[in-house]
Amino acid sequence: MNLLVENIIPSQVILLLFVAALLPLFSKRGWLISFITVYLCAFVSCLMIFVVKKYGYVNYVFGKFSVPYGIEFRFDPLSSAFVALVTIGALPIMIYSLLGTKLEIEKKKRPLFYSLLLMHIAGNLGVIIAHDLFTIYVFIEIASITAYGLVAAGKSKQATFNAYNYLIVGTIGASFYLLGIGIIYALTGTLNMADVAKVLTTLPPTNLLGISYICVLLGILLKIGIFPFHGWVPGVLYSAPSTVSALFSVASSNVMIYLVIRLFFDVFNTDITSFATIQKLLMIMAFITVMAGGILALIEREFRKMLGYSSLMNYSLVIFAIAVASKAAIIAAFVMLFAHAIAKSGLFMSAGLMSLRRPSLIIEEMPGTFAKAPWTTTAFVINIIALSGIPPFINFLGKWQLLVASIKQDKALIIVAITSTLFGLLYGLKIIDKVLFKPEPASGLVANSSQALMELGIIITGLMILAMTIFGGFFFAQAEMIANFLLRTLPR
Amino acid sequence: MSGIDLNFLTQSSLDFMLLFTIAAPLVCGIFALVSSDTSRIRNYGIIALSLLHLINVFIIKYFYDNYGTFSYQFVKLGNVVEFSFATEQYGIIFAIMVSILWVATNIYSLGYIQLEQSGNVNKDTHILKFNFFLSMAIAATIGIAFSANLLTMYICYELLTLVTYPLVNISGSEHAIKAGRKYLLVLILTSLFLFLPAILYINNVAGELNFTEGGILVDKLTSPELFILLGMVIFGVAKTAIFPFHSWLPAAMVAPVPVSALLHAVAVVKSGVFVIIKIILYIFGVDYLQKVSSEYSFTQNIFILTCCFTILYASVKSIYQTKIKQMLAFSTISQLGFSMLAISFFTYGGIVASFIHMVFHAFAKIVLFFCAGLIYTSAGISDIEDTKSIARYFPSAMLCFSICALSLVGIPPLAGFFSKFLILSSSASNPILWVVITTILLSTALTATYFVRFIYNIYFNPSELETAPFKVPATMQYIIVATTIFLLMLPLLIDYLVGYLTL
Repeated sequence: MNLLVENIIPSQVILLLFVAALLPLFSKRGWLISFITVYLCAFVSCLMIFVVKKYGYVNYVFGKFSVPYGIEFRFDPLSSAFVALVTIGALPIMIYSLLGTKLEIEKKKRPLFYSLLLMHIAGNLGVIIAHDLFTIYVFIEIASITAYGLVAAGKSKQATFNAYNYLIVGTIGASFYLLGIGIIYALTGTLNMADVAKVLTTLPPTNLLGISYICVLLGILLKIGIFPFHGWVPGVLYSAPSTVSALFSVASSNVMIYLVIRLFFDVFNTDITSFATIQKLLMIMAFITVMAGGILALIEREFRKMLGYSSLMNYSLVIFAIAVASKAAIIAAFVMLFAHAIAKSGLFMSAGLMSLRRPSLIIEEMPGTFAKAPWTTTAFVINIIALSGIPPFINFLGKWQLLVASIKQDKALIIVAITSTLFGLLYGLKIIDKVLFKPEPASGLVANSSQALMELGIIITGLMILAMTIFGGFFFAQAEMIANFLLRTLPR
Repeated sequence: MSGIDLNFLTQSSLDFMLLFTIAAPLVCGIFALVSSDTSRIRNYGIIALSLLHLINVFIIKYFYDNYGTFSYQFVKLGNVVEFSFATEQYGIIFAIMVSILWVATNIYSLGYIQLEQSGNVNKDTHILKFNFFLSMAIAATIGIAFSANLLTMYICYELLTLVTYPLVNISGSEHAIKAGRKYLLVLILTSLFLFLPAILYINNVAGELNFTEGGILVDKLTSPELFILLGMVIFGVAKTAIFPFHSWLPAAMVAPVPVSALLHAVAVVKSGVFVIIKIILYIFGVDYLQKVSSEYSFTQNIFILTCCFTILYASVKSIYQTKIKQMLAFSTISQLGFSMLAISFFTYGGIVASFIHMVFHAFAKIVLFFCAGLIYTSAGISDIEDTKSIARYFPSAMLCFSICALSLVGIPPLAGFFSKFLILSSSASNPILWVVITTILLSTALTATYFVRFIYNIYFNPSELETAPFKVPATMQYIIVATTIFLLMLPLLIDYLVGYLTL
């Protein structure tokens, strides 16, 4: 493949870091520069999808050190899909953030905020593309530290405290991950993922190896918020600026799920026993988290905290489906993951719009926004209905795929899927009739013209859900390609 | 139906026509949404589009009669999700019924909204946007009518619930919001917990979900499995308002009258019965069900008894209602019970009888609702007590009301008599025949009680109401009379329908 394609591979991460470093110099045009940067990254990720379709996978080795020793960035069907999710999902959020940051961040901190935002996206992209266990750790830390900073930028007094909570749990998670890969490095002598996979197949399955797998996976799951380490999730999403919460639902936890998928299918599937054990472990933890997340979402009175628990529920459902590891279940998991990311980001942005004049958004007191902002409210309702998994939107189609897959395999999956739909429905219902039918117009909406840009971001997410539903065939075909790619090494 | 080979041009234009039939209400809805509320183009445009839709459905019927089934696969996702449409007799007649009544409702709501906006009664806010949701509901109903497989039907069914929900709480009052929530909860919870798992199980057992003549589950289930599945389907489709999942229907009466008329007398409830008919005909298979129930008649008897109970319960409840719309709601529940009763005989004759009863009831009930809406917007009357002697102010409308009410009671030579007779005759081979006959006779008596009492009230009971001349818009009056005349002519179509619908 030619030189241009080869050198474009690391370009997104490098561009983002470079621009982030220089951004504080351009305090006046902060938003415009960030938006253009993210747009370019989205463009490159679309390009890479086509490249990967043509070549299978492409990789780039830094400094031309040969593969097992050098740092490798690789685009294959799995990573190109996730890169597309993060960058394209970030676009409506960037559109929204023009006014979003104006209203939530003080003026002199804004360039720093954008800078952190770009670095956070860079960190996430790095985790997805890097094919080297330690490089992934480095990028996890970049993403996490910037995340803590982004959360602390929130207006409320609890923002710093919640950021600190997140920091503690996140660092513990990252440390577990580091411990795990340290052990793996000691046992295998290499850090490149493809190489580790090869060497692991030659090693006998000792207890130490098992412990290292568990350390790594536990570390990653801690950063997603698996039960019982879920306490930080609602606080973080509630007190962070709305742009940041929306970005988290598109990027950070999804990237951790990517890591679980990558390790589960490409590195740790050395033999059937260890694969089956990790499978069971993931399924149990995901099952408990789905139930816990759903119940906690139902009893939660504040809107954004409820969205946090609902995210937890959806992520665990996806992990459960991945753990089942049949082709149909993996297709369902991907469809649900992508659909949830877009819908959730739209909901967080809407919450940001609604909470401009009130600190906390108690569900019973949510403003009726239909009168003043009909299109935005329609997009909001589309996102909520999609999130609950009610037909006809893409989330339902993903759930249906999951149900059909599960009936042939794991009956527990049916219970999980139907219960999660029930929970989604119940907490969705609480909200829908509030925003649609309160007769008095909302007092919490800023009535000036630049609000249109915030609304545009939300409307774009609604349109994306509609587009994903209408072009569902394309989606399912892509998911099938990824599933084929993941299952290529499995004996089943 | 002959299957003449069509050349490529005609085939693709047939596909387009099918797509247009489903998309036309969507187009109408978007037109209603974006056009300004008071322009005449908007009102006439909506009526014109619905007429166009009706003509389209007739064209489809013509092509179906002459060229056989045609279908349109809208989307296919992976191996598991297939969203496609096809034509078959029951769907076509159902679509024709819905389209005719949609045209009628559009004409009626012209007059209804004019009258309401002129300040005779309390204005409902947001009411002008209801055409959008109404059209979407029709689109979903046509989708149900022409579904080619169970998944498509399920998706359109849920869409119908979602799209009619804003219509229930459109007035924004506390009462309306509570009613809307009950509506949504009952319908979605039943379909999520009973209907969806049943579909899943059918997919697992049969490997597919396409509607095929003779059923796809034949001989694939053990008896207990079959009846549990059947129970899940019948109770999961709560739109048939079968006891105990009937409570959404009286709650939904808080909606404005055109909505109640078209949706809760025609589109939503009839979709429920239609879904059950299609599943029993094309998924379970009538012969298979008949064979199994002739060996184990216990479970079939449970279904029959539940339907009988629904009929009687709703009839009794109807007598005690004080509001006109609530009385009509419970009357709808009991008439739907009749349709379900005929289905639970598991014979082809029963299914045809059920369908015909459904169609005749739709026309009669929509006239009843139209009249109720007329006296509500014109004179502010919504209680039965206030209807004493109002027939002198609305002579033609109340005459039509009486005719349609007597049709529902089942007085010959009105349409309702023939459909009830068909149901009765299809029950002939049933073991617990005496229960069925008793129920039918008893419910006829009860229906007669509340309707004849109402008719007596409006004609003969003297009242102290002041003799203010009430405005009766011409459109409302004409459409009420026109639909009643159509109802009077329906018995002539029975032979044709029975022949057309018998498989």
